[in-house]
Parts: sequence; structure tokens; C-alpha cells
Amino acid sequence: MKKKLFGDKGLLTPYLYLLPHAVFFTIFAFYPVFKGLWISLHRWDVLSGEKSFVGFKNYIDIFLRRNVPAQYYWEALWNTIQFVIYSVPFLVGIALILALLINSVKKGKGFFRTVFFLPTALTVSVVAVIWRWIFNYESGLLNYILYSLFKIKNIPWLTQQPGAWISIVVTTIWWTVGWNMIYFIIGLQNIPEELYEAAKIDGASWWQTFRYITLPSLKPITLFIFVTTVIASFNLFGQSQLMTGGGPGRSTVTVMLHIYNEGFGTNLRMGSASAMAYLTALIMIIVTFIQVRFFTRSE
Amino acid sequence: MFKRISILLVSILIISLLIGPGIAAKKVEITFWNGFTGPDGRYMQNLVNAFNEAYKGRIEVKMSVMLWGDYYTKVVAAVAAGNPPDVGIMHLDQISAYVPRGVIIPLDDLAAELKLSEKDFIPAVWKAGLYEGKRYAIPLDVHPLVFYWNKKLFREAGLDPEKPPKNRTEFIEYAKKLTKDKDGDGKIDQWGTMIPVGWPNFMIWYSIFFGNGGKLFSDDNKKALFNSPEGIDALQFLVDLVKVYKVSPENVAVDADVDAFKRGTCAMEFNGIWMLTAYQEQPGLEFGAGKVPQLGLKGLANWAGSHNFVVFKQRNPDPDKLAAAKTFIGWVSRKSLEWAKAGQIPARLSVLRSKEFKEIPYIGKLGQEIPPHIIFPPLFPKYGEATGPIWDALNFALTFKKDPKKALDDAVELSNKILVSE
Repeated sequence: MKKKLFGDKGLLTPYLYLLPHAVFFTIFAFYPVFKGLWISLHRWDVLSGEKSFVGFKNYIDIFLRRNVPAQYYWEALWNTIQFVIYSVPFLVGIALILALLINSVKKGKGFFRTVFFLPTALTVSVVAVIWRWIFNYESGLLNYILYSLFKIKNIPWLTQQPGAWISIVVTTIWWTVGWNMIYFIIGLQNIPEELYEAAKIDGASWWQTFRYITLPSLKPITLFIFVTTVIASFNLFGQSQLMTGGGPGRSTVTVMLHIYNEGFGTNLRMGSASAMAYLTALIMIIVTFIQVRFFTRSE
Repeated sequence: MFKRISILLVSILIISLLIGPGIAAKKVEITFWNGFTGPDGRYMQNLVNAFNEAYKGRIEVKMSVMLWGDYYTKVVAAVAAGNPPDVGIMHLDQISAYVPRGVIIPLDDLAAELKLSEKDFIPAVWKAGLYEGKRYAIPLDVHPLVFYWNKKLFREAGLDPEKPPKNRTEFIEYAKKLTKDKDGDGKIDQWGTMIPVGWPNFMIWYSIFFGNGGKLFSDDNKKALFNSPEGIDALQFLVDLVKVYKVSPENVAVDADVDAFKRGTCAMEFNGIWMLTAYQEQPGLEFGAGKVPQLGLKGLANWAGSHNFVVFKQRNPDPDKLAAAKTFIGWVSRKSLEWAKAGQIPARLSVLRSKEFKEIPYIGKLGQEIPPHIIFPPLFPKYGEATGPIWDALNFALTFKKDPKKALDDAVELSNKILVSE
């Protein structure tokens, strides 16, 4: 029997289904990835369009800290890693607590879910403006409350460390924790009810139920949340740009902010900006790999 | 008979088909990008509408407005994609980054055609649009740093509200009188001034630095010189206002000074002329605006930027569009009195000296007293990148992380590296 090309069992059919996605993936993901790699091997001026092949010079310059942007890159990388360390535990932990609370209420699940998810609908500029007002040194709401309730003198949230990181972390939590919360709620709803019933019959305490049923069942979704949250925190950009302006003293200039300035800002050096981007991507891939290994170790 | 009529009709049809598109094609469309997102955007849109009306059927200008921060990114992307706008607005200190890259074209012929002459422009502005002997920019306006003071608070402190401080001694004296603990709770609630840890402290430092007779870079732009005694003195003065004289609070965030000035808890403030409209719209705020006091030790210098028209180089130049672009720039340039009402100082002396201009509240006065003291930065491609470390130095010093000398020494070291790198 001759095999058909088209139709339900045709040879080409599965590929035709894949085609639309493949086309867009090629144009918007596959091609830019390699084009970017190609750019990173050049001295590439975006405005004049001039380019000359320099091999791995851009990468070597970064590693040997040969110029000022390279010096700034390592500072920015360290700043970003700090932010990841400060923000990820809260972004995951608070999301889990919120999800557990919402899952346990009898009435108004939808209401609370909406309330905590709502801030994610805002753009970063709006969020930054709101929180800049709250954290304002002279006339901010937070300092006002602290002073009138506890007589605590004004705290310079945005212009001194650690205030600047605290402000950015708090703002980021308020803005994005809704996403992780939704993922956890989905994860919680997927845990079979029978497991809890069995635990109840065995007389398990709340903590035991949580420790031996809820947490292990949430493992796959938690891995996903950790990976996406670390990546999102690595991409911190708008909050630093708009709330602290990278200050005090460059301490909140993040990798993305620095790469943006190198490529599009005052410097317009696309080649070295791309090299920095690839280096950062490599670091993120390694971090993600470690996370996956950590989560799948015991299995 | 019928045949004749049909021949006639068909020929009319053919002729009109041939001519029609010809006429329609004569209308030239040009794109005009800028970053006038504030109240100034309305004025520019009105000018563009008036131009489109005046040149109806011949030229149509399509204006796109975006935030200045996005504007340059979008221009870069559009240029890289080979599809830049026809006409754009560019800040003075950006021009020198664009000219050597061949992105904008010389406009000497337009300047000649418009009979623009050095005599009709604020000299500093005129010179700033020249790059290696060629003119690349048609100046639209000047936007200086302005000294704002709250007249009501001046009166309350027993100061003459019509006489702002003129020099450093007076400034400190006034600021001390204006710094008060009004409700007696041990917490100061009215400040003489506010020196922010970020924007626009660079412009304040710059004005004092040039007033001290300082020089940012060597003549060949290969060496940074701003850690000179002039530079250190200027920064020390700003730090002292906070630390020694205690007339400015610590940790003033960006724009916190603006909010405080609006509320009347900051008596004397430095900010761009672009804040003027916002202050005028603030109910109950009675304020004066003038040139920056002479805080430098040698003379009076006033930071200013400038908006300029530029024409972008196209991959396939269209002479019709180029001509239309030049017509448009020329037309707006002659209307700079209208533009002045948007809150900017016109670059043309004939407008500056006109009676109508002098009658515009605030701007009319600022236009007389500031221009003689304007000092524009030296213009070279790395200016933006090489002054970056100064911004950081000011932040380090004003947040007390480094003393002024150390902050500027470190900045010079970075700046020198940037200047000699490829």
C-alpha cells in the first residue's frame, strides 16, 4: 500500500501542524539568537552600520575588564545576583502562603485571587511611580506612618542602601507575586482529594499533611516557578531605572540596564552589548541547570 | 454622434486617470519625530496643524511624539532598520554623536536659504550647531537651568521677594533664614533649598564649575580635567549645603525637590525651564524665576540645553521630501515666538528682543537675563559617555559615600579610560 502524503494519516500532516509555529519561532527566536551571536563577534556601530569582525575580542575585553563598560558589567552582574538572592525567596514563599490561604477560605476565593493578581496588570512605569511616592524620604507615606506611629525618623529608602534594595524588592513582590500565586493555586487544585482524606483517616496533623502531601505534590510546579522567577529577577530593569536611577552610586544598576545603555543608550556599541547579553544568558542557563538538578536529585 | 461623445468621455477618463495620480503624488508626506510629551507637545502639534493648513495639498507633516527616553532608542532602531523619520528634534549634546556616524545631513544650504545668520542667534547656540565647519542643526530653542524661589516664604522670612540672592554668600544667608522648624517639634519642615542626589544636580554642579572657571576636558578631548580645584570646590559647596549649613535635607530623591517646591516646603530650587508650566499651574504657589545665582567664585555661568531640528539621511533620498522637510523647518523656525509660549526660550535674538516675547510671563524675563551667561558643553562624540562618571561622582558625594575630591578623582580616572578607548 502506498503511503499518503496528506490526510489524517499522511506523512506530512504532523509537520504541517508544526509549520505555523516553526515559521514564527524561526523568525522571532531562532534567527535573532544566531544573529545576536554573530553581532557579538563584531565591532558593530548601530547608527553608522559600520562593522568589523573582531572574533572573541568583545568577550576577552569583558573577562579582562579592559574597558570601563566591562568594569561596569561585573559590578552590574553582582548587583543583579544580589537582587535575585533577595527577591526570589520572597516571591516564591509569599506566593505559596497566599495560595494556601486562598485555597483554604470557603468563600470569596475568586475575590482574593483577583485582588492579589490585579497589580500584575499594571505597567512598570505606573508601579514605579506609585512606590516612589510611598518610599519618598521627605513626604512619603511610609516614613509618615513610621514617624507618627513609632517616632522613627525619616528613612532614606531610595537613596541609601539597604533601603534601595528593600524598596525595589518590596515593589517587585507587590507587582509580580500574583503570577506565582496563580501557579501555586493551580498546583494545589491538582492534588487529588483522596490523598488528604487518607491522611485524615491516618490522623495526620496539619503540618504532617503539608509536609508529606502538599509540598511533594507541588514539586513540579515549584521547579517551574523557581526557574521562571530566577530568570525574571535576572531581567530586573524598569524598577531600578525608574525608582533609584541605578543609585545610590551604581549599586542598583542591573545587567539588563547596563546592556541597554551599552547597546542603545549613550554608547551604541552593539557588539560588546551582545557579548554581555550572551555571557549573561550563559550564566542563567547554568543557574537553571543547577536548579533542575537540585529539584530532581532525589528521584 | 453617440460615437463622438463616447470618444470624448473615454479621452476625458484617460486624461484624468493620467493626470489625477500626478496631482495626488505631488502632495509630499514627511514624518517628524520628537519627544515633546509635556504641555509643549500641544504647542508643537498646533504649529504642525497650522503648517499643514498653510501647505494643504502640497505638504503634510505627520508628527509622532514619544518620551525623550524612548525617542533616542527609537531613532537608533529606525536608523539601523534604514527607515528613519525625515525630520527630528535633537538635543545639542546628542548631535556630535550622530554627525560622525553620517546619520544626519548638513543643512548649510537651508541656513543660507532661511537667511539665518550668526547675528540673529544667541552666539553660544549658533556655534553649537556647527560641527567641523558645517551646520547640522537649526536651533529651535534654549532650555536653561532656572533658579526658582517662593515669594511667599521670602516675605515670611523678612526677605525682599523681588530680590533673589545674587552670589554664594547671599545664597547661604537666605537659605539659612528660609530653613525653619515651623511647628517646633524639632524636625525641620521648611527647607532653604534642596540638592537632589540625582537629576538635575549635574546641571547645578556644571553651572558652579563653569562659574569657577573650570574646564571639563582638555582641548583635544583626550583628558578629563574636572577634578581640578574648580570642580572640587563646586561639589564641596553642594555637599556643604547639606552637611555644614544644613539648609538642604539629606537624601533628596529625584523630583522630590519639585514636589517640595510645589507644596511650599522648599524655598529655593534649581530645575529646568521645563518645570515652569507645572509651577504656574500649581494653585497658590507664588514664585519667582530667574538666572542661577553666581555660586561660582569667578563669574556667572548657567547650564542650558537646546532643541534643534535635524534632517535624517535616507537610504534612498527623495528630493521632494528633502525640500518639504526644509520648508517645514524654515516655517517653524520663523514661528519661534509661538514656540516660546510653550515654555522655552527662543534661539533667535530678533524674537528675544521683540515686544511680544518680552510680554510673556516669566519666559519674557528669563529670555533677557539668562542667554548672556549660557555655557554649552564642548561637543564631541564621547561627551555623553565621558560625563557619565560625573553623575556617579555627584551621587557618591551627596550620599556621603565618598568625599568630593575622592569622588571626582575616581570619576576622572574612569572618564580618561573612556576617552582613550576605541
